[in-house]
Amino acid sequence: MAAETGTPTTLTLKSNDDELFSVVESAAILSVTIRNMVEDGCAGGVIPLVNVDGKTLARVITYMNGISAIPGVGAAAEEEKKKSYRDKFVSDMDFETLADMVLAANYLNMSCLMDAVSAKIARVMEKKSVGWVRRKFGIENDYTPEEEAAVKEEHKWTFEGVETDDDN
Amino acid sequence: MPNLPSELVEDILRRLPVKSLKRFRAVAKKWRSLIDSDRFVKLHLRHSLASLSNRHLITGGVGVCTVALDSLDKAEYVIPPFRFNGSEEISHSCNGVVLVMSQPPVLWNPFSRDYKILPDCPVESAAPANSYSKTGYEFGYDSRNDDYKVIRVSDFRHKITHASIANETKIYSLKTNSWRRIDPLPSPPPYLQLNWHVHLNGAVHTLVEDPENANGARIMCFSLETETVHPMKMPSGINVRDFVVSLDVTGDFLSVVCSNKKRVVIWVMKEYGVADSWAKLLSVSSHSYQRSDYVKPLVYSRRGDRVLLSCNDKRLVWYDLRKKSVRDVCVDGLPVVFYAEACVESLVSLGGREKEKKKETIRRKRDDFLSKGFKLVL
Repeated sequence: MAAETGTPTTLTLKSNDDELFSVVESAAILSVTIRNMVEDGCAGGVIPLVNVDGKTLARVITYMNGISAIPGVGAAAEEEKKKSYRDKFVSDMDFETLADMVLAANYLNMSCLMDAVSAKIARVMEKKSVGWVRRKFGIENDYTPEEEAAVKEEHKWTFEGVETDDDN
Repeated sequence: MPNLPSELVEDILRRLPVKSLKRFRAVAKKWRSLIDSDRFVKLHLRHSLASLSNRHLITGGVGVCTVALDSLDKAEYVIPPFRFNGSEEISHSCNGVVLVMSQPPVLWNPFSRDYKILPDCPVESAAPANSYSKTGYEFGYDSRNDDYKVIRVSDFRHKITHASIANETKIYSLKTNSWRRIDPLPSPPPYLQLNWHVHLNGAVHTLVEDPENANGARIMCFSLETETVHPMKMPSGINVRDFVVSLDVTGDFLSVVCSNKKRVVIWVMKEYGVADSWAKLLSVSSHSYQRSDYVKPLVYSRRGDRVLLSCNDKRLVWYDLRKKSVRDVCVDGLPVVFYAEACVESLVSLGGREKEKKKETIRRKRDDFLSKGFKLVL
């Protein structure tokens, strides 16, 4: 509840590595998870976010503040500005950061942010090799060499124009 | 490195183009199962349609090209993996699948390169005396049964009068991979359009003269699900004596294109089947751009503020709906004459891969045998 003077309410968020952050409530409730916790009566104390670390939470908060600062001019123009902001927000993140972001956005139930991050990951992945994908996603190759060769043979043409690295 | 749960991986993968997804089948067995699954194919398609991504133009005429709609800069030639002489007609696309009108016809997904040669189907009816037959194909998707269907109409015409005497219609279902005879498509009211090539919402459509109005026309729809025909109302006030009128699809809307020496007018049916929902999309006078005898609407831009048109099968233009202006599109490598259709890139499978695998095994066995033979001689 806002005080009579009209100053915005701030919430305290705690990451899973015990870092504390102050965020204005109107920005914080961009996360449906946080909004639900507030409605359940958590606003008074500290809101614990068990699935986000401090480094990632700091970034998320930057996003929340940035997005809620965009003035609501007209629906279409506002949407355009927000989309620009999201594109810029994800533009210089490396893959590991993007992966942390998508997990955080999923946990915090922030669909627009998650959409922007997933889309960026897809764009980064598009021309990469099979080996790159395995490494970045931490996936073990469970094909035998013969099986792998057979699968690759089925769609040989898809390996043309792929960014080469150590294993294709 | 964080390990992403499968639903997040899926959310990322559904945004990728077909080429990347087919390659990533080699990442691990779990990824192959996911990418090949019917559920994911549909998820991927739904995402492409909803986000207006992975859209292309597919053009026939001399060879087949695809042009990515987001960039519209370069035409990529695609060589069909089945016998193709280069000039067979290619139908519109249904979820990324096209029908190639060769003998026999072939269902083809040009992005996944999967294809299905339709089984032989002889004409059962005896040809009437003094007649010749003309065969046409229609193609569509029955969403209720999740089935791709091909209709073959064999029209028997009188040798001298060219009037249609009899007609045999058969329908092919990809699901059952078989042909079956059905009641003939209404033969023939005075057709204004030579075929039923206009496909939307699980039905194919054509244009016929209106029996109650000499200046009017009526739309006929044939539902691929119920296999029945019913009429649909045209926008009011269109006079078929003043314009050359044709039916088409603009984006997801049924459209009526009216053109004459003075102008081109395109109407779109905002709500399929609702006669009141016809709205004028554009009306362009021939002064404002090089006059075209034939204008084919294709798709809307992502923002919905422009429409892509093909003029005389030789030129692509964007028409700005707000500014009412025309802008030429230059695509590198497009042939001089091209027949363009909009096509979404999809993973839809036609079950033809089995044939390819068998052929590969036979080829390898033959090559092994031949090499052995030479060794003996030496």
